[in-house]
Amino acid sequence: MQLHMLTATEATRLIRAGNVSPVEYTQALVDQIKRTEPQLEAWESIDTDAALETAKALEEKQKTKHPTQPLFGIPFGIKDLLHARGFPTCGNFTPWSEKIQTEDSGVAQFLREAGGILVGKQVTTQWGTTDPPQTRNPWDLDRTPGGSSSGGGAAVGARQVPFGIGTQAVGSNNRPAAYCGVMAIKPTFGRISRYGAVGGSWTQGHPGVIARSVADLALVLGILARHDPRDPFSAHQKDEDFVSAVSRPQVPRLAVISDLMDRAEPAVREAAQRAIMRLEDSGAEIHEVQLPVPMETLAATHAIIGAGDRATAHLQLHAEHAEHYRPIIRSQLECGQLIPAPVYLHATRLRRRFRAQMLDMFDGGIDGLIAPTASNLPPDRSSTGDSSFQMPGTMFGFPICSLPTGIGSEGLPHSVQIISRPFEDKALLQYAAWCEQIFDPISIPPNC
Amino acid sequence: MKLNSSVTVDEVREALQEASLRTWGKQRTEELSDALDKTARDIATVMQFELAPPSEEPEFPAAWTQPEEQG
Repeated sequence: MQLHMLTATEATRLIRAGNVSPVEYTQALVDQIKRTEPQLEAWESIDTDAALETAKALEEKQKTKHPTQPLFGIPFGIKDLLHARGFPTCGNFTPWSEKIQTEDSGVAQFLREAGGILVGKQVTTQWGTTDPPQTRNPWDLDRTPGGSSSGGGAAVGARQVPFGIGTQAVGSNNRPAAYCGVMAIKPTFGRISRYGAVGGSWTQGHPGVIARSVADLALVLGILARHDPRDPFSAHQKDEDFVSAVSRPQVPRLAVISDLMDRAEPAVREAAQRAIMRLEDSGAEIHEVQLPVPMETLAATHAIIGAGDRATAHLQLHAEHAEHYRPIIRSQLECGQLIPAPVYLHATRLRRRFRAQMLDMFDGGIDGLIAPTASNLPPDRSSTGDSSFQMPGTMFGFPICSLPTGIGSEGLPHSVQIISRPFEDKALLQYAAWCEQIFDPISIPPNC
Repeated sequence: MKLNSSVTVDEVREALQEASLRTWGKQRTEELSDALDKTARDIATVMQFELAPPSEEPEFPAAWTQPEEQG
């Protein structure tokens, strides 16, 4: 058995049954990291020795007490914009590279408490924007893995860890997953604590999950979806059993966002059309809708809010370390400082109006909106690709699930996204579980 | 610049140019030219929408409208 190929759900079952030990599983992933990391550079900081020590401690614990923690013995990574005790949070920003954090982010804390083994911090673009990082795509080393959760997409795609935690303020969690041939969910804004997250996308960004199965998305979301009073945007939410829910897949009524389909590159559009046709042939009801507001208007609104948030978050750091900022984010911050306050507030008022219009797209019993996850296949490493297709769902805080549909003739993975109404994350996962059965499973990349 | 629905991209761009020169200086302003162009277009795009005062308020963090956490 190639243990690094197991999903988290599969591994937890085997570990609990005593068929695989935490040390065996962790060692298999450590070996996979050693094999593939020189080419991929998915990790900003990593401590495999500590991970194995933690695995040993869990193994000892298992000798006297049957494990009940949902992630018992499962290694994982988190994006280097989220604090983790014992690791620096660099944000791909040199002045922050030395300071070791002494406290976990909410995400790291909850996953560790659930028995997970934090292996390290996965590469992010600088401060979660679009300056390309060092990481490569496991499907083609000359292509970007996407961003800003570049390391998460690459590491999970390469089977270095079964899941990672990214963040998304535009398309930064789901797009790397799509480009690297794995799944992701950016849940409803407020579902997952942003305590200990840095970067500055205050009103649009938050953590998401990157994994290789819908069952794993449900497993991890089930641990992280909770109110955290330390995060002022954390939603009060009822306990939901996402794991049981995905064992009951639901056939969705979907509406294709035709504006996005029209904007996609031809190969992406054709692959998405084929995937949607397969869903329809299998019993899904398929309709068509258009965005209620032109993409350019949504993009401008989103950009103004994001620029204002980020520029403000980075006022002090930029004043002290401007020369350490990469070109794209530095330009964004410096232009962001020039945006008048009334313009920022006007954009947030518009966002509220547009959000109500976006919710109308679900009228008539539509369960989810479907479109390609990204407009393009992963381009070369001079950029992190196009995040625009994730922007409409993200700016309004809607939950979005990205699912790979298969490998194209060019040898690269294709994906679609399904957007649901706020707080219908459980139903979204049930629709995703149904779709997962229909789409082609994605193999391990040939480079790995 | 006057912020209303009739403000043009050129007017916004001119205002941003002046602000950038005062803030970042001549050389940096030249380097920021493309980014300033984009920001000007974004501002002009959102400002074309008139919103009804005093309704259509901006959103504020939900925590402000929730009871204080206990303990």
